[in-house]
Amino acid sequence: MQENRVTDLQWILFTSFKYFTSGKNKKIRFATFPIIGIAAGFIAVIIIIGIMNGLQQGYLNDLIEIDSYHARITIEPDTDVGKLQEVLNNTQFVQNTFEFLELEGVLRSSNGGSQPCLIKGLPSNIYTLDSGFAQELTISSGNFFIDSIDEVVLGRNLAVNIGAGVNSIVELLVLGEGKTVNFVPIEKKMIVTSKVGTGYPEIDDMICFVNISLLKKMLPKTVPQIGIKLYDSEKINDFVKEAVKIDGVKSVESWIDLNRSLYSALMLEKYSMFVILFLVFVVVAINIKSSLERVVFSHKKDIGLMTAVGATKKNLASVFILQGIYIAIIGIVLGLIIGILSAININQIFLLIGFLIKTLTGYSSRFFSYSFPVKIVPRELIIVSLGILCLSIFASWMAVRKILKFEPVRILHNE
Amino acid sequence: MNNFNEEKLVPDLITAIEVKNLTKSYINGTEILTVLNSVNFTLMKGSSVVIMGKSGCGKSTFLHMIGGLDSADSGSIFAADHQIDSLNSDKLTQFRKRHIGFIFQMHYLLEDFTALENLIVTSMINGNQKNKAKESALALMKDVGLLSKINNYPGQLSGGERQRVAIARALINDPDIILADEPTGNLDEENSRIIENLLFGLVKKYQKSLVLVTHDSYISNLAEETLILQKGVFKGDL
Repeated sequence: MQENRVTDLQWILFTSFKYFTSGKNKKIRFATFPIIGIAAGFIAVIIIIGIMNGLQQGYLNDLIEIDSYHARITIEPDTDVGKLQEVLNNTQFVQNTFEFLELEGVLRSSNGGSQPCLIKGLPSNIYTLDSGFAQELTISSGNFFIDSIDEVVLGRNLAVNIGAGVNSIVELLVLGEGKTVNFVPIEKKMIVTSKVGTGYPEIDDMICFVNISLLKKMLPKTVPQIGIKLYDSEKINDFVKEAVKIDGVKSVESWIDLNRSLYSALMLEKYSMFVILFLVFVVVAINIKSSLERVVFSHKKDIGLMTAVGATKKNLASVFILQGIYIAIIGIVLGLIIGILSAININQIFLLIGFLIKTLTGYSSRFFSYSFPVKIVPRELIIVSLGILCLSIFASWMAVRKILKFEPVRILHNE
Repeated sequence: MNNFNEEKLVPDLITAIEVKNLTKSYINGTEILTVLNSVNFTLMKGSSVVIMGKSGCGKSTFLHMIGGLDSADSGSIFAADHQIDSLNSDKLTQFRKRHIGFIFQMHYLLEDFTALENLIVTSMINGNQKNKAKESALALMKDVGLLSKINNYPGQLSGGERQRVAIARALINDPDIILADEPTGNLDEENSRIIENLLFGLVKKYQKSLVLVTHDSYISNLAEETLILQKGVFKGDL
């Protein structure tokens, strides 16, 4: 039985490949449009999803590095933060840990401009300690110094909005924790050491960085949190499972939890794009089906003859289904090669398109000079490739199932 | 393997085909047309018979039925030691593959394959490896005198040459029985004689049983027996 299957496979492959490559009856032309369709669709998928991944990763990455961290750990009161950090640093996932506190307040400049802000208390050496933080933050002016509790670094837009510059004095108004009452208003004059930008207005409008010692003084009853940076953000679930077991850890919030609405919106956007692009492949599959139906019909005589000499109908159906598989494989390989090359060089391509449009029409747009981040996720390409292959096999099967109903004697009589 | 061999009867050393009370009718509108009416037929192993008759008298239908391509209304067919009227579709396919070689009026060569590949693929369908199939195919192409045209596509061959390839194809799987349906029907007289002599010569060489349907009375001289199918029954000296 095994030997039969092998020899059956041999003639099926031989025959299908012969049909597919034979130029005598225009099979190449039958296959050309579906191949182009699959390749073009796949190229579009790779470029669009690549850019979406790049933007998504870039955006989330910036948020993680500057604001949310990969995880935030709320610790139990009376826990030795230093020791806990040491334990966390010794887990396989953790790259670095940082103590931090956050507080909302109002910032007022000497010229009267004021605005609500998010005050983030960080270790004084954060800029050298956390390379990711330093990398994502662009210093507009000054130097990132929060060595003393009198120094503050302002978000670029926040500084502009209140009219504060480097070395100017600003006044911080917060509701701190009192010894006898819950909240007491606290005013603190500080000197601006730097203006920084993240590229995201919603952060740059609000953020200011201070030495954590200042917030510890303002919030003596509040236990600081620990921000966690992981080696691999995808390992967050594994880390959370391990971290919650550690003594002194009250709760752990992952970067997905912290940015859930944004993350969900980005994923929804991505899946929506997948659905739209999937429709391209449905159209291609319909094209494969109708093309293969024509091929099957034009080979009716061959089917009748091969049935007469002992080919089973299932094997004959396989011969034609393989045509669909060849189409899919060629389309996928072409799409992969061109798509990946295009995605990697998409910014150069946009520049070229911009240049051509400007040359031909005189119209210029900043869009074409914008640098898009691209991230290609091999797993996604594998899933899409398998999806195209399955869809092609299904379309091919729909086209050739009629073979099972063919009666060789009727075909040979009618020819 | 499958259960195909279970259908095999006790081997008959002398009978290649035995048909008993075979009946086949077609419905044409309201009219029932009986083309074969309780036909009996016997062919000895290694012998040849020519069946003649008017167009539409049922010659080809008879041939297709003993080749397992068509089914009878009633009666039984024993061919190559198998009762083929009791075989299901899959087993009939196996039977055709191993025991029957068809030659049709139209050559029915695969247009996308060269002459040699037409033989190779037929042999591969029968479960042979490509190398072995090629070896057998080359030997048969030599037998039919087309060794120089093995790489020609059917469209590059003359009618006679195509039919010679079809004969070689019918023999490639070493079948017990060759069924030829007007193999010279589309050829001129000169080519017809060549094909007929070649076919009968090869059948004799390889000791095959041959049933040949034709309008050509010349062929009856080459066969051991000639039957006339008329009004649904055979007339002749069986």
